[in-house]
Amino acid sequence: MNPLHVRVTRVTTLTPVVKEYLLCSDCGNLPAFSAGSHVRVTIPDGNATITNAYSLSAATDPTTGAPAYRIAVRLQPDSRGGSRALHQQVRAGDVLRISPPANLFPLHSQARHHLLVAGGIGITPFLAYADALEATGASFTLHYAGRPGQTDAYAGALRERLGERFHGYSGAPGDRLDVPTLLAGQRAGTHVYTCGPASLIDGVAAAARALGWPASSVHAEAFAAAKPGAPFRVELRRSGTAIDVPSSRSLLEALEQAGIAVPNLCRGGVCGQCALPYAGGDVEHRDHFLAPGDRLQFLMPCVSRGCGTPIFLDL
Amino acid sequence: MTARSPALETFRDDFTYRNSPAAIARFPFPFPEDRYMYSVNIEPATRKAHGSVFANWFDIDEHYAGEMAERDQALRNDPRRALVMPHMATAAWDALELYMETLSADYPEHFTLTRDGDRWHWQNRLLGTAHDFVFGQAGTLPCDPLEFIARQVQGDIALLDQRDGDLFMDAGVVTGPADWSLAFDAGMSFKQWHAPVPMAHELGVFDRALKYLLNIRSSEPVRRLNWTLTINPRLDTSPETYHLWGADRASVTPENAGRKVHLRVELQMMVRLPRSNALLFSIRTYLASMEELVTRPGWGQRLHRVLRDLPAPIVEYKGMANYREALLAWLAPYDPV
Amino acid sequence: MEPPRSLPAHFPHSLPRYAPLATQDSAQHHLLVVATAEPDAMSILPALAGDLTGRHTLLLQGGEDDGAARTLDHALAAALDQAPAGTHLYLTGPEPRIWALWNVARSAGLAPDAIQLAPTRRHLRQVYCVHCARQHLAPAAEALTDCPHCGVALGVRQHFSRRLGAYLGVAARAEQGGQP
Repeated sequence: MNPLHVRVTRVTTLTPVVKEYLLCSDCGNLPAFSAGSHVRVTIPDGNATITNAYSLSAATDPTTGAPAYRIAVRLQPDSRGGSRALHQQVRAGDVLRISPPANLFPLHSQARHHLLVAGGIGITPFLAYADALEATGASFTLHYAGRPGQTDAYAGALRERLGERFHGYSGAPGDRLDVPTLLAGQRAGTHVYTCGPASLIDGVAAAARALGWPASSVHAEAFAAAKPGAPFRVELRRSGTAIDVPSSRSLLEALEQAGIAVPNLCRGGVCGQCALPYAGGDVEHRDHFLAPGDRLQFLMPCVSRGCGTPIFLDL
Repeated sequence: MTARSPALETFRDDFTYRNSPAAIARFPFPFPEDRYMYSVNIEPATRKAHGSVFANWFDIDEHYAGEMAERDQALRNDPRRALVMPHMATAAWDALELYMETLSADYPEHFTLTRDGDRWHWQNRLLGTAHDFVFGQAGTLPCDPLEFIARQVQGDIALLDQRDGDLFMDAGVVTGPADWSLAFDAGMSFKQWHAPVPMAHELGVFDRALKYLLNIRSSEPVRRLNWTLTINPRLDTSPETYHLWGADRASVTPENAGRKVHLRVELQMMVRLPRSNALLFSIRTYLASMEELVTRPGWGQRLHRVLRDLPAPIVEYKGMANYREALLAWLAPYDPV
Repeated sequence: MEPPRSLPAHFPHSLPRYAPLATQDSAQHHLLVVATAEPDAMSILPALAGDLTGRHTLLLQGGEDDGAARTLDHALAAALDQAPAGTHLYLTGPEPRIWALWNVARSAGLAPDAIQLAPTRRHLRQVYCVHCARQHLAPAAEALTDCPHCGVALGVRQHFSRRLGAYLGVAARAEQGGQP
């Protein structure tokens, strides 16, 4: 799959922890994309690279109207360094390598009403959703929980653009998003989409289940960058070598850096593409894809890690 | 549309369709082994040797003009062969864009696409037509965008809505199907529309194929080959017109089998569409008579063995029960034991 | 790949598979629809535990004629317009009628996993004539039926469309070379 090369044309500080990057094509056209799509950005980190996925929030430069990709990056306090490297090192004029867009969080074609629930930086795919839903005249409302001035990027612009369809929650007492009440007030035929921290996603899923919502009407953007962990070793049976995976790298990244290409897509433990068979070793499974039985034989190197004796891979 | 020129080959009535030696040489022969069984034979659609049917994503060949006239006739006879559910409007424009970009890049001698923002100009020198329209604006084209572009490419098109971990056939232009009805199957899920296929469900073929197809990304189309037999080079073998072609199966003899029986190969391409996230399923059909095929080394023998040893449910499903013996008698000399 | 010597016969994938109606306990609202005036059809409804005042709506078809069917279709659409998310729909009646109502519900945006169907009488089934695109009711036990609209003798195939609520009918005698 051929990566795209994009030039950063503008970096805008939206809040002390959120920066927006406008990316234009360095050669040729930027492919069109469907709302909910993300790109995987390869971030230089010293001599190595980190790859993180970011939702595409828009398809044009808001000031010029020219084709562009817009992403927003929240500085993650406990990240492996990808967001920190972006915030601290990437400037306008830099060229980045990104994957073509892929979509694991598409709109559903049969919903009568779309209920969008965003937490913090989870707002980004919903900016693209708002464009798509307005273009077709579809019915939707957006509920956005974010700390004012910190994790409520775009709230002002959205309030102005969407009017009654927008509800913001600062998190202060009396101004908190009450998920069960929100869901209980919806009409049949509504689909709910959540993007944000796991606690928000889980909360919406639990409330929807308790209220008898059909599972097919509950959607979430579940991918998240791999959390850090202890370093661990993997033994590669076929090549007879071993790789030590540092805390700041995922197993997938370490394999790629060693020149071993593993098919992959979401890099966040949900799509199943990078599943590898393993024989022996202690694995901490962090994915959302494998069934418990499958975990005895397979692991997802994009998020899962070793946590004891070395893992044996048939590579 | 202009009146059909008398020189155009026909895929119905008098069946004047024939393949040139060059067309036979590049025919996508679907049998790599002496035995055939259903499998998940999907592979990345990498562009192969210049001149082969795999060189371009959407192949234009010597039958283009005849096929376009045939499609026009089929749509006049039965407008229900083109269907786009309202929620597939974006996918229809996606498909038009994909075809126009790809065809103008692969066949610049035949097609030109020029764009000024949303204002597009499309020229088709094979048909001698040109159109100015606004991309995304229904009404600036003479018909629905999917039908518009389908009238200019060879092969049927289906657009699949991806939702609920499944694929739904919610749009298409299908004038040359191998015995299935878009009007009936519209709205069905992947396994529902494949319901009539024997054996493959039990083998898990459709479970694995569906998983694979759900993960196709915009930049990475895939393809596979499918095959059946057709009597006469008839493209429109739909259930709708079964009363016109069904009886042909009873007309095959060991003497005429070589001329009448045609191998029908579908080169299926599956492409993710960028704006709609729908899947485009293009079904490019190649027809060649047994007489034409046996001119290629080894093909006569391979055909004899595959058709002789084909499992009974597949023989039944592919509609060859009535004439298989006559066909095998005709092929036998190409497989001396 | 070597095929197994004999494969278990599979249930045709597009044919509907019905199960007895079961109460969806977590549903916010239960919408029960009986698409026939036959008295014993009510017995097929699930026994709902507890006091369901306000938590369920019952819609009954007033007769077997087209007018009564259309009235019920409209009543369902109106009920779904007001129904809360988490509404579960239970449809019972003759097979063609419950699929017609299923389509009404789908048009209103109701998800397929929020709908249950249990046919009452199954001696008649809807057949779609692929030649003239019209439908008619035919005895379910018979593999052949004449299309009353265009006259073609149809073989009914093991292929069902939920959108049409009908089985596929294709000319039966084409390969014999006889008149369709």
